[in-house]
Amino acid sequence: MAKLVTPGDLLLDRPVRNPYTFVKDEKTYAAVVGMFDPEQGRFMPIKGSYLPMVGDDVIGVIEEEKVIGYGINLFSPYKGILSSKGLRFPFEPNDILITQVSEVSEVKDIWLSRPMKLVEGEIINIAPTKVSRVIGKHSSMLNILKAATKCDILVGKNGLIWIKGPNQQKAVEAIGKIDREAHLPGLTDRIIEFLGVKPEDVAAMAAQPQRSSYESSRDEGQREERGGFGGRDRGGFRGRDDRGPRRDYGDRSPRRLEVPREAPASGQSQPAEQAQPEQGSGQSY
Amino acid sequence: MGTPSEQPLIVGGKRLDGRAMDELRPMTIKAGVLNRANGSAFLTLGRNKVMAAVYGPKEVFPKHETDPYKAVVRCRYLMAPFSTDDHGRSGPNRRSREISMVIKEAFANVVVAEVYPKTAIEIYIEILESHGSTRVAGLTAAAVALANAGIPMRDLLVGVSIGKIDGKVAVDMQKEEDNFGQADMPIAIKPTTGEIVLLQMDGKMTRAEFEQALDMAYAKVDEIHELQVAALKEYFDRAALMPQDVE
Repeated sequence: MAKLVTPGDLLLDRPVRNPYTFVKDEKTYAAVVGMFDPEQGRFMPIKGSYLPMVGDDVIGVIEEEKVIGYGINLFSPYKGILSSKGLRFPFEPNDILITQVSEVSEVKDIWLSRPMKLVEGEIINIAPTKVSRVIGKHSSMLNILKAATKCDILVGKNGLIWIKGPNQQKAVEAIGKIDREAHLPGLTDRIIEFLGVKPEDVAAMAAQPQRSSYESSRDEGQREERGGFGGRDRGGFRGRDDRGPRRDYGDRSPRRLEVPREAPASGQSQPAEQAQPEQGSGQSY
Repeated sequence: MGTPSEQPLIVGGKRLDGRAMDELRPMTIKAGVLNRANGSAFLTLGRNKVMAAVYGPKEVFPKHETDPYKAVVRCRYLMAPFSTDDHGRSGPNRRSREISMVIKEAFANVVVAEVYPKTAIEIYIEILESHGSTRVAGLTAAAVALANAGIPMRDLLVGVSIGKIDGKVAVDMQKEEDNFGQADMPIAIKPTTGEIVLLQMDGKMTRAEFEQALDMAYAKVDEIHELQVAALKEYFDRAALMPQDVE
């Protein structure tokens, strides 16, 4: 039976490193308020900010456009950076994206990749510590939610959830209920009751992975296969083709640059082809 | 501590408000009172009313104060102009800046700041009504607000004040005892380890009285800590029933 623990309460007699616990004298203590189950050794913090991990799917809003790419608000203490290199089309501020964390630097710069713009639908914000309960064991909770509401649901590890479908409002309410009641026992039963799912259907729903239309449209490995430089309407590599024709700077070999200085002093001894200055460069010296 | 009083502060073994020497004023704590703050708490201690709010972890402004290895803990303690008998001036003054600093340093000892490098954790303590021992009341409330915000901490801090009135050591000084007593000593203690993270003293005490004062403070820590834990528990039970805060 899980019980509420507060900062400073002893959890385990062995050291476990975790953002929500701290270790002192080889023992683990709770650092935040949470529910601790001593039998399973599980600790679920009730509140907490999102801490980025490589491989997380996160949902964010484009806040600014930078030289290297886009600054993305992830509703966490740290901003994400999405490099515009390799993007097939540009984004705009306030676009909502689902992306994957590809790198987290020592100073918590979050580099994002594989962006996908989310249009239509609805975004809700829950506590990042409750995301694992929305997904459930082997995605069971998420599968039930998707099957029962017939909605596409994308869960960002940072606590933002995108929902689109016919029973959008029902899904929003169900996820809100998970967010509020995740720390109380019997969550799955209450959610099943709330969704009005028949008990005999639950097992089938939980096991059946519902691929959302988004997931099937996500073109994995697109960048590597096409290698950019597609036609403009196909959304190929952006940038090169809108610069216009390359200007001709002429031949800029280093040999020729030395000519004008030496030409007046020792013009006679120079071979004819070297002494002959190029029009442009000769006048500037 | 101020000028000694002509009126006795202890009458028939009881203090002015009828308390025993080792008795706290009635204390109530409620966590999660503000919707827009990440964490908050409202505390009453006798006639004191204290609101504490916590924001963060969030980006540091100004940028140059960023610490790349850990979070910066900030604190602002302010007494409302209407919190005292005489209407005061609004805004920080010498006293409130000092108290902000000592509370900040007390919390810097318990916040696990390494979890959130490059961020700021901001604590705001507003004294809405004051009647002595507001800094420890504010600190106790801020500890609950920090836990309510989900900030990793090594301990919930407990603040308690001890003093000397009419030659006797007493716990939890109220305004008259603070003004006309002989000493006033606010302490903040980590309840699980008993470490002291804040200790100030105004006035004079003998070594024996100081020892006695410390013992009295330690005796009250668990009582206050239980109230803090109960407030957090009550909040998370209540939060389950509240409609979702949609933003």
